[in-house]
Amino acid sequence: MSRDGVTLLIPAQPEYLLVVRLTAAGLANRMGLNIEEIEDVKTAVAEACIMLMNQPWELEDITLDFRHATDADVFHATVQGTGKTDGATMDREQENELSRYLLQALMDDASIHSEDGYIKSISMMKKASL
Amino acid sequence: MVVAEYDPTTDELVASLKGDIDIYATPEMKEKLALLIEKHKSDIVIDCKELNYIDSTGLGALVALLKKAKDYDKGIRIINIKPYIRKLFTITGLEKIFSMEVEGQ
Repeated sequence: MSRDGVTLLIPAQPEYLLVVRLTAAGLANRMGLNIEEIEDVKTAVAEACIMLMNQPWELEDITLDFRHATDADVFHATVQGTGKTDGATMDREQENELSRYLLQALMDDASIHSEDGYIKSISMMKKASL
Repeated sequence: MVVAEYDPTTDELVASLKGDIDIYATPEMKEKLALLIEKHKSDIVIDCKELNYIDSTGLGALVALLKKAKDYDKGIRIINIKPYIRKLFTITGLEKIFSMEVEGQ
């Protein structure tokens, strides 16, 4: 099956976010986004990873799924965490406030999916300007 | 990474941020500058000429360092900041709490 996208699985450790940024920037470039838009994408994708890491759970891996909508130059990314919460609920939304501002301002659309107060995945998209 | 030096002629702590200040590099930068702020109790100049990237953990650390400086009635001035990094300060509202000069000013 042919597909226009890349899936990246990284250990949930800070040193791997450079790999995430480089991958996101390379793919955004391939998808036709300009330099400023590539910077936005790079920052937003890394902030999504930080939001997942900045929770008191045993986060093991982060899966990043990058897609290119071929009918228009649109960058899609879904960032998902896999880890154990031991069933505990949490409410530490405020710690992610800066990440949230950046994510929502830099992308054309971003949605955060939470369960029991834990952010489990973040989806985002950005359209290339004409 | 951060290279910092106290300038006794201006009574300022000049800290140059280089490369990427991200979730990996921020703890070292924060710890180093916090110690120097405690030691010199002076105003701080953050030179971003060689800063290529900063994330929310880096921004958060700068806010924490500003709070520390304010304990001594001192401030933080950010200079030589690239427009695309300045944008992050604008989005998060942090440009209102720092004195900022863009690159070339």
